[in-house]
Amino acid sequence: MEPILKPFKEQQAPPLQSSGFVVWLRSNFFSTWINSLMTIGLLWVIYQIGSFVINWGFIDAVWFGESAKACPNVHGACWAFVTDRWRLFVYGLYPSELRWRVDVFYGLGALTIAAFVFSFGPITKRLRLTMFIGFPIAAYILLVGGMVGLKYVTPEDFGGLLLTVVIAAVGIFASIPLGLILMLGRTSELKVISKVCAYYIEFWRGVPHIAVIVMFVALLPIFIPDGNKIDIVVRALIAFAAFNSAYMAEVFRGGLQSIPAGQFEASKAIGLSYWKMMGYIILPQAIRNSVPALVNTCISIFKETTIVLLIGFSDFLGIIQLSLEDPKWLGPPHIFSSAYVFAALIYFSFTFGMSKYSLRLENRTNVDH
Amino acid sequence: MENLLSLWRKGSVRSLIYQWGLVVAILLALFWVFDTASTNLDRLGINTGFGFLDDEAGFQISQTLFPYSAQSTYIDAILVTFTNTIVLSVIAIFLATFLGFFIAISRLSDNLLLRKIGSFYVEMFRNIPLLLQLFFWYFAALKLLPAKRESINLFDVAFLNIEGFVVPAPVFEDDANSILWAVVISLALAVGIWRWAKNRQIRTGEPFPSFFVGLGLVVLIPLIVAWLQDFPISWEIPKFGRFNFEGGIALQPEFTAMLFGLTLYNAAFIGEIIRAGILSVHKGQREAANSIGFTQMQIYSQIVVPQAMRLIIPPLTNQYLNLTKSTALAAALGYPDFFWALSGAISSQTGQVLELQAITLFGYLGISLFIAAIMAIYSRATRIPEK
Amino acid sequence: MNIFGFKIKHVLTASLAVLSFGIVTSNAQADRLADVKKAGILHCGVVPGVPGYAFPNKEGKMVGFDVDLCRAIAAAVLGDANKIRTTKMKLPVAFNAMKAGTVDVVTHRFTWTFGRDVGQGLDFTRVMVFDGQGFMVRKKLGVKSGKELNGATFCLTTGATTESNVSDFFRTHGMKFKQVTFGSMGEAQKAYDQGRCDVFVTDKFGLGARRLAMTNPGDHIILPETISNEPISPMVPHGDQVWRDIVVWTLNSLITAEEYGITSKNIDKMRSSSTNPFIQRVLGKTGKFGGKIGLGKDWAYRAIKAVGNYGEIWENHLGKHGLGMPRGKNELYTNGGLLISPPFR
Repeated sequence: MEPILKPFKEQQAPPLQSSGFVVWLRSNFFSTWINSLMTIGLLWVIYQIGSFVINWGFIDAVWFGESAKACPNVHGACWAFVTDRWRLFVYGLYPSELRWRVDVFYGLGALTIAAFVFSFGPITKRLRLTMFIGFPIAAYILLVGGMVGLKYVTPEDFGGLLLTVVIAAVGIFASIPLGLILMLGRTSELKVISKVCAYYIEFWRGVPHIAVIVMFVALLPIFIPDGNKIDIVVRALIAFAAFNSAYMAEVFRGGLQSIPAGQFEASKAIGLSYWKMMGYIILPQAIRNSVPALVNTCISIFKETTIVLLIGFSDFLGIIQLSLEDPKWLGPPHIFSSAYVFAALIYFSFTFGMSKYSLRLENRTNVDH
Repeated sequence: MENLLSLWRKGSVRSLIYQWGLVVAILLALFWVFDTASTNLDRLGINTGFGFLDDEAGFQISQTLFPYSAQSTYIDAILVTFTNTIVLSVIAIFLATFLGFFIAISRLSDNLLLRKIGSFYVEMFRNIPLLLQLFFWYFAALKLLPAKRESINLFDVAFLNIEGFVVPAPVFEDDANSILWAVVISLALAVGIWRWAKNRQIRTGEPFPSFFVGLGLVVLIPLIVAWLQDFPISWEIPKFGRFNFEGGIALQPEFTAMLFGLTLYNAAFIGEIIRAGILSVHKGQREAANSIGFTQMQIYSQIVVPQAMRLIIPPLTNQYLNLTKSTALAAALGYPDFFWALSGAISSQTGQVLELQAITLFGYLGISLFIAAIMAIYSRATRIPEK
Repeated sequence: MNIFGFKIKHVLTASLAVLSFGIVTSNAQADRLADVKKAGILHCGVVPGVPGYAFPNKEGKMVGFDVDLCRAIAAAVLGDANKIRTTKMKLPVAFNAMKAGTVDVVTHRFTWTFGRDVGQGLDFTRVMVFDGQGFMVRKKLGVKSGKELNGATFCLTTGATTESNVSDFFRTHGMKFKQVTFGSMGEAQKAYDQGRCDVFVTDKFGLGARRLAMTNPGDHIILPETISNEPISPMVPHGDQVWRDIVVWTLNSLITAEEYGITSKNIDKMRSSSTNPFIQRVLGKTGKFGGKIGLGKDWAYRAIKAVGNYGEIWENHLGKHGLGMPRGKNELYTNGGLLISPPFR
């Protein structure tokens, strides 16, 4: 066969300048005429969108008011809806005289996050571990109460952002250990155990989450002996733990597969038992390798919490939807577009924060290899 | 005792005990669950059984691909909505992959502005909950569409209004079957040509424009067959009645909003998957292809994409599964999908939750397994032989 | 197949025997009144999202007609109207979750139908609201009657009786219609308000409230037809007659109170000074009704004192101080309505 050859390109003069602002501009925006055209077109689009956002969200927006009548201008955002009902969005139906407990919970949460994001002065590995284990316990005591002199509050009265955060946090904290166990089972050399775990994982990964939640919320009482009441929010939490543990198992399995076979062989060669090999050699590496994927799973768990509104829970989006039905706030569509944009901003700030954190971890762990 | 201990120390015996212990524990747990459930059902006097599926459904479905009315049975309703789920998933998968490809390309572009916009898109769409996006698109779309009596009229045959996009419906006459056969045969021919061309290229290196030839065949053969029979298809033009357009096919806003939301959301993920795949192909491969005179098109189609595919397929399969599962959110927008029917009307009319839950889970598991199987076949077919 | 000399079958049988023993011992007959008293809290099933019936106010408290019925029962049983817990679920899920014994009483506005009463694990108690479903349309369509709606598109909610009612109505009149079915009332209403549908259909009292909630209430009218009969009644789990009696008679006491002019304001005076033996019996000054259903003798007094009589509850949430709806059929039988309580005798 004949080789397909292009004529050699003509020799070109060396570029006059190889660095500087103009060169940067040219190479990034105007390298070819198509590129230049695209740059100009995109700039126009950005200008249009930007000016719309500024006009809609700031200049023509209404910030305060008591009802839909406060927002007559349909071309501007109606933030009054948010400022009027923000308490409901943040605390849900939590008894109003006990809301300081929610505030303390948010504060503790922020401190815990800060301990993981920053590293200076008193922040040590030990402090982080204490907070990682201590925070869920403190959160439970604070929010649910019923002990150390705190009045009991049913999880069914959680709502708004509080419910969203609680569902996400329980989903994450419960599914990590369960996921690890499932992963160990699935990768086990014992055929039966590995098959059982594989079926379990694939089952949960194959069905829609909303169907699982409906199943647990509506059907759990039929499958447990009469007289045992399980709070419906707790049922939803069990559902979240059930399917998310399957996803976590796959995340950890990915981390495990990235470990070279030599590590296993070497551990076996020096006579370590299965549990010692896993505990000291393999799992620490596997978990570290799976951190980026793990954070991604946490992000999807956080986003997935919204589906509980489909069964009538008042999570953050749910309570906004519900508030939109308040006769006082029913009105032209710009009210609910404002509400949705506000909700999107809040969700975005959480998830985007998490994804940036994961990027940082990725860069940090990359150095080791 | 000594004997038993030494048995226990033996790895093979211990593993047997672990495994059978697990099996027994699972069987016991299942038995316990079933026993409790039957006790509870008895106590509460709740009916069980699948007999209700033959009863009359009594509700309408706004999008049906085959004949259905309120007098049809529950089983019909389940089948109709199951097809709706599949239609939505398949179209959304195609569109999201298509859009995702463009996002990947734009994130790899030379133009910094385009790259930035690409990553802005990805960050925005994948960080906001899908359900919120769906609500937004649905109500925003409804807001933008013209009212029924102010429809946008396209040449008096198609109309766009808040009820959706109404287009003429084809009415097949008796001879129309032959056209269907022509389509099937020409598709088979096109596949045959593609395989022959691929084999020939592997043997001789001689390229063949199999895509265009195949496309030509698929379009031309049915057209010729139709022409030979004097076009046995007529069109039913939608007419405005008292309230709505009657006749024709309507692409409803619930469907459109679902499609829009699913496509935009999943395209962000698919774009990242494709980008990672393309980046995984070593730069040297591209340079080598360039140096022996491949065009940009050829570099992508012959060198980069086949290699990238190996990395793309597993996460892409996952994304397709996620997309299909998330179609269940359609219930919130009133698009009549599988979950909508089973968790809504049928469940509240019959109260047979256990049975309906089983149908739901197995229906979706079936779809998931089907997609996984297709992707496995595809990945086997395109695998690069090991050296 | 053998494991260490044991037949698998034997191993299984033995383990199952052990386990079933555990099950048998854990299954005692439930006594709901004792359970509720022990827990010190009454668990009510409501579906939030319907202003006037059950809706969170700005401060995050559930208020409405359905919630007040729950409060009345809590006051009668536990002596404190605030000892309630409301379960918040959407219609299709709610019905199924509630029937499995999640809640002590369902005060959400469920229509009493054969299908829901029989073989579903729930018993209806007594009708608290007489409603019927109707149509809302835009004025400019010029429609005067439901019979002119041939070919129209309907927005409605799943999980209610609406779907079958509309379908029956149209089949009776030989007409066709299209429907778009949403998961909740809010979405259905928004879609109708945006013009997605020609007709919005739900219970007429609901329609009245929803009309006020449209972008321009004046643009919409409610057609005269009532296509169905919707007797709305609280429910209790199947199989506990004592508990059912408590709920039925607490609800009855609210209606009786209105009939005899007892309100939350004058109840103390009535109790101490009224010479009417009927009122004395209702309020527990004489007679032993409370003891007979396992509650203190002033159970009805507590319920009425906490939430007021039926008329007061109505005005607070659905009438003058709430949605501004007329009572219609929900007047007392003495005023030409359908509301009647069996006598306390």
